[in-house]
Amino acid sequence: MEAIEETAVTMNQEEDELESKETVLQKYFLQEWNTVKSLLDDIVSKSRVSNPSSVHRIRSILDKYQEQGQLLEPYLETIVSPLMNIIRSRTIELGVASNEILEIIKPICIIVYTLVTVCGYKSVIKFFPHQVSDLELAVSLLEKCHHTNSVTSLRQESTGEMEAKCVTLLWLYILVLVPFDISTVDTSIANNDDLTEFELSPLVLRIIGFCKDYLSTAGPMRTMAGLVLSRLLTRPDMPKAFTSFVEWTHAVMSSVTEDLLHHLQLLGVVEALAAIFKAGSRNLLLDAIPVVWNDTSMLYKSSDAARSPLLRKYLMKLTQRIGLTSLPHRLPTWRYMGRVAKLNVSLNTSNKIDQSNLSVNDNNSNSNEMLDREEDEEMDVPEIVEEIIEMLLSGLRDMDTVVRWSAAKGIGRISAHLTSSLSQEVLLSVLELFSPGEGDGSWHGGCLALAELARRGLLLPASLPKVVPVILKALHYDVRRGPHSVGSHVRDAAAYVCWAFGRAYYHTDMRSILEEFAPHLLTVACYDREVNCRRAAAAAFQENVGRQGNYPYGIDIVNTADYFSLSSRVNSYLHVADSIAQYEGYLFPFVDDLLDRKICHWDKSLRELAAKALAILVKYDPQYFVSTVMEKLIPCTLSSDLCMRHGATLATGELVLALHQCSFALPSDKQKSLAGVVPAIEKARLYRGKGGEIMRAAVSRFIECISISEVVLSEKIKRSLLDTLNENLRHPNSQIQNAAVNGLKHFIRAYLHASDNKATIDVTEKYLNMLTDANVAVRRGSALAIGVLPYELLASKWRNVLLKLCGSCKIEENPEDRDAEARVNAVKGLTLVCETLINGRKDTATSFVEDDFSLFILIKNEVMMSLFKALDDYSVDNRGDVGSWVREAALDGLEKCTYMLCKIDKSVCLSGRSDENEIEPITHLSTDSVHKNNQELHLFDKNLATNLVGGICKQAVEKMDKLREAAANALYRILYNQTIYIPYIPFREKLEEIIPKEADAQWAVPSYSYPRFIQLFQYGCYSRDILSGLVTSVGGLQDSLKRVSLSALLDYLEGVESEDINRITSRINMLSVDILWVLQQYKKCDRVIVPTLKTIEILFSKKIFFNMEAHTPAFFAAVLDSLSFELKGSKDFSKLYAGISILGYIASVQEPINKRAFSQLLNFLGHRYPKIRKASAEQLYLVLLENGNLVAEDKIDKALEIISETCWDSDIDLAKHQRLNLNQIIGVEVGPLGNNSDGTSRKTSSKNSTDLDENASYSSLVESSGF
Amino acid sequence: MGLLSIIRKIKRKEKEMRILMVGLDNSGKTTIVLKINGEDTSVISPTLGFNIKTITYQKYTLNIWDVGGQKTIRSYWRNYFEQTDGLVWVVDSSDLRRLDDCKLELDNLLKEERLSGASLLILANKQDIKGVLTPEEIAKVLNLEAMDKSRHWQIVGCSAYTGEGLLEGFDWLVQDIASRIYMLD
Ligand SMILES: Nc1nc2c(ncn2[C@@H]2O[C@H](COP(=O)(O)OP(=O)(O)OP(=O)(O)O)[C@@H](O)[C@H]2O)c(=O)[nH]1
Ligand SMILES: [Mg+2]
Repeated sequence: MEAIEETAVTMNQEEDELESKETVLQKYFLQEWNTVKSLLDDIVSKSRVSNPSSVHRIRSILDKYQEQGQLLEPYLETIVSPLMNIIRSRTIELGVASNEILEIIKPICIIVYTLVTVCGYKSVIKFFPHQVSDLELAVSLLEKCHHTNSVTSLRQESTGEMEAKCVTLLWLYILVLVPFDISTVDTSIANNDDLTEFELSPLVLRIIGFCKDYLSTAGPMRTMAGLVLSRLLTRPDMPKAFTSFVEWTHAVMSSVTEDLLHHLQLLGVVEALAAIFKAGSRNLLLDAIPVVWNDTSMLYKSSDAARSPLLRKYLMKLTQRIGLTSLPHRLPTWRYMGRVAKLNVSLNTSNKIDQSNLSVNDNNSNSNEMLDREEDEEMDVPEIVEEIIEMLLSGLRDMDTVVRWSAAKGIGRISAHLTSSLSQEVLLSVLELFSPGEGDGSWHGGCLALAELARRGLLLPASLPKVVPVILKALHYDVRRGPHSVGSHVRDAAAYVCWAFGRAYYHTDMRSILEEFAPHLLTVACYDREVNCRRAAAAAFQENVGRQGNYPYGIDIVNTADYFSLSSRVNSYLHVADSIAQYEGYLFPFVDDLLDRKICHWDKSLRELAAKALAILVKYDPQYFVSTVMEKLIPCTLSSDLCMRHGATLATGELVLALHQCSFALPSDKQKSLAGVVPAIEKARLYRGKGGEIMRAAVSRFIECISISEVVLSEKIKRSLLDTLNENLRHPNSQIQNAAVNGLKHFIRAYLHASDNKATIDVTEKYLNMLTDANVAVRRGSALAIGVLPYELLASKWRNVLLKLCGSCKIEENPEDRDAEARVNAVKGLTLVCETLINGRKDTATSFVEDDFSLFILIKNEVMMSLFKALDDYSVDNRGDVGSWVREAALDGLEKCTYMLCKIDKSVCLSGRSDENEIEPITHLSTDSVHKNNQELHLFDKNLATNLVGGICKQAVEKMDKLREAAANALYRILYNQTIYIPYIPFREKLEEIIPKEADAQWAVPSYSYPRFIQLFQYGCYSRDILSGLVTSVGGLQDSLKRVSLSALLDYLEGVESEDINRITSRINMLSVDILWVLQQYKKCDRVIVPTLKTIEILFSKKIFFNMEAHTPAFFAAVLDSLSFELKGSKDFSKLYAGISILGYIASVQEPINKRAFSQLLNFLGHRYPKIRKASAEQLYLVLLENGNLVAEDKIDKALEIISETCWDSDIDLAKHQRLNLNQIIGVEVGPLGNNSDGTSRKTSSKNSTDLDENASYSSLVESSGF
Repeated sequence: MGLLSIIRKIKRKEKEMRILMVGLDNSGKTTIVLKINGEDTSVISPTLGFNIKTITYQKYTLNIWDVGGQKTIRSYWRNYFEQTDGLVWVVDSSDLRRLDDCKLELDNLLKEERLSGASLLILANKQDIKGVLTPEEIAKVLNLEAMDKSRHWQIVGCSAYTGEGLLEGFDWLVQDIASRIYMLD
């Protein structure tokens, strides 16, 4: 359940992010507008862009509104008008001959063009200047841009060249509409009479010239040139230009060249023709139709078109325009008119309302009549229209959505001009797209066309009986293709059709259709795999219900299945569907959908979900499920289709369980066939080979379900099922194992429990033996299996079971055998067995017997010890910190065992009290030692409590996010346990302060958790645990964690909450002692030592530990001891670097101890790794600069010289030689100080003395600090 | 190109708007919708759930969702195919007792991110009754001036009985939405 809600929540959050985008943008635009405005004002006041970055700034702001252009529209005039005026006036001022003009307009055009892309050209050009004289100006300007075409055509955008061309073309698009004869505007013609009638003026020729050029470019200029041409050539004074252009297009379209340029040119020409046919008058265009249509239909069949969706889309546009031109302009009288009222304009005078409304209704009803049908039928339909419709229909089948959509619009537009019988034929052809032989593209295109026809009122209610069944099929369209399936776009589009119908038809016409739609829409809403389809179907249902007024349960369903609740698939399947199924008419369609389409879905998780969803519906009609559904399902468990048999097996299991849960007694014949399911699957060898793994998990779940439901099984089948489970138990796949364990748990309780003792003992013994099997998978499985055994199977041999499991929790001695998962399972199994043993015995007796106490003591000692050890499992392999899995399981185990022990303590305590009153204490039965200790016996004592809390706190400050959170939560539960109080926790009050009861804790957030847990440094019993965990964060590899944990540590040390100097010093002192403890405790354990050294290094860099008075030298000495031991022979660079850096810090202090550090550093100059030699040389250099006392004053320069001049990372012999030189200069004898840390010499004798030294200085420090 | 962008294009082209009528129960939402739709307003019962009416105004098509004041309205905020463009919050100007409730509910509604792009028209209904609060007084009680700056809003007094104020209100709403969503042409 929790998981379900979680997914729902996250999905909603994603949604929120998407949706609030617009809102957020809106809020920000107000702010950003000020920026834009001030940059613009600057440009306008200077009449040019003086700083190119302002253009980029404006562009990057405007670009953000790409999807929300409407937000900018109110501001368009303010932006566009002044900018275009600059372009205009500067062009006049400078003249097109100057080259400066281009430099001025280019950046401005970048801004204007950005607006075109964001808001669309139509809204932008409204603010372009349009004086007659501008025409010539713009043409010259464009020519200028055109001819300065630079070679770098690829990166034109950034220079503004492309933008300048586009903006000028768009300007021309307005200007060519000048209401005068263009030749009168053309100043190049001195005398108008020079031109014969309709001869083209030079200006027009120029425009057509470069527009043609642009038609074969790849950029956006192509579209714009087409637009300019569409306006220019359809002017009444341009028939000649029109004709010659059409001739030119004919030449282009019928040419067979196959190169890129030609392809671009084709795109440009077809797009331009489509624009021309949209803009031109029928009379002008009619003559051109035969040629153009012929070219169009030929081109559509060409390989060019086959390759280019864009070309096909333009062809669809052109085709429908040709069709519309061919048809007489008239709106068909047969059209369906929904009854839509007008918002009454004369509202304020109430008398008039009724009258005006009456007349509206009258009109509507009139138009619905088909008075002029006959007249309609006489309309002449040109032959060409049929071909055009053919082509549009084939466009509906296109593989590309853009083409299908364009074709669908075409079908709608053309039908609007047809007679009703012709449009009926078109509809029939559209319906043919929905046939099994057609691909998904056809189905999608068909849906788009139907929605389009309905929207335009071209789909009469009388045709709906033919249309509805087709849409219902499309709602479920899903075709398997390879491992997946296609069809969600078809289903989405089908829902759109239903939605569009709701809007198009008057609600009384829609009522009966909705009744047909509803079960299908709701099935899709609940069970579609894709969220968009679920939502689309729900929206369609909502739209229709809202218009019906009183659809049965409509409102309740709409409230249940809304946009939000359907966002999660799990929620839709398990909750939304469940509550809709209670209303009449939905249960059976739901069941059918699950059975027919979802149980056998290609998506495994969907099959699993469908099985659960099916089970949830059982309660509404158990009898139906037993007799019909189960009957259908059982044979499917043997299906040859893997998806089907997997889904059917799961579903059958869930069904049985659900029936059991509603106390439905299965008839014995059903029980019999259920018992036979798994043996049959096995017999058919269906879990071998491909798909076998999937079946194994399903079969285990099936056994689990029938076990819980206690389906009657024969002894033979029981044995066979147990074998099946055992086999799955040893499978290397953990999911299969887990399923087997879950199955086993219930199977044993249901079927083995009652059988003879021998068998049960065998079971336990068998799993115990498997614990030490050579095969890791067997070990993993058996540990889990033991964990789920019932009390009866464990009771007689609990000691052996627990001890063996304890053994399995340990890191395996032989490295080959090591397996983190096996240990995790052992820890989990151990915890479970303890629980079973303790809870089980409580059922059987009320007082403890001797055997019980031995059990408790074993748990207190061996079990807890094993768990503590497991909490220290830091194994790594190539997957990383796999030990963390063990630690996580151990945390859980420790927590649970703690509760058990405390509960026993409590009941012993209670019975102890009663002992005093009773004559014969029950405990007399126990052995002497137990008896003696009885009154004082506390299983859970202070020692355990300290170790427990310390261990948890350590995990709570380590580097693994997941474990930190788990640890903090475990601690929370321990502190505030509802059922049992956990005693003896040291500094409980402080812990309760750190982990407050009511806080909305964010333990996963480091900046929340570290400052809190670090407070525990104050308590000696926890400080070492905390430190040994904390160093892995502070000295770890993860930067953000490092930062947060370090600053928490520093804040603590610097006592941000109190300014008491004494407290600060004592904190630092304590930390220094604990650091030495860690160094001692984890000797040569690089996992801890390396980060500890790094931590020391960081703390040194912050000047911590330098002011501890007498403790400081002692601490330094101990650190140096540890370093000489740790760095010896180390190959770990990070360790060596950290060590060298620490040596550098200590060598720089003014205490005598510096000499030791210094000499250790010197030794590293001869280290075998060149990088280390170099690093120590660098350190030495710094040390000498900082600390003059180390070397006699007259020799220091020489020493520095040798250090800096020598190439330490080259030859080792050279380095050793130079070290010798250096030693001589400095005067350091190669004496006792040096030998300690020289990794290469005198290994034998120095080791013992080092250890002695370390211990000595450590203990002396501890003493002097008073701990 | 997905279906949704197609639908959005159509919506824009056809100049459709989705308007949500909300407010406490009994404030007169249904009466107002019937009135502007030219229907009989004499027999009205409380709305359970919602009702959609399509009404044209000028060149715009308004899909008006009349939502019952007694139900939670989350389900109607948006659906897959469209978002809410306008909100009409109807206030019963004669119901002084529930004015605090009214403010609370309105505030809650406006907190909803998903509705924050919508223009807000507040109708102070039932102005035909004597002695009711004026729109100005209601604006004060509802503390409308304190509203988020990015919200476009307007309050208009009206009566669903006489029809007074309705045209003015809806005209503002439609123009405001149009200026946001469509070109100001
Ligand atoms: N005097 C007067 N009464 C009105 C006016 N508008 C509505 N009423 C009355 O107020 C009552 C409630 O009206 P409805 O339209 O049902 O209110 P509603 O907001 O739709 O209520 P719900 O659907 O329950 O949310 C009805 O009795 C109407 O006759 C008005 O302008 N003046
Ligand atoms: Mg109502």
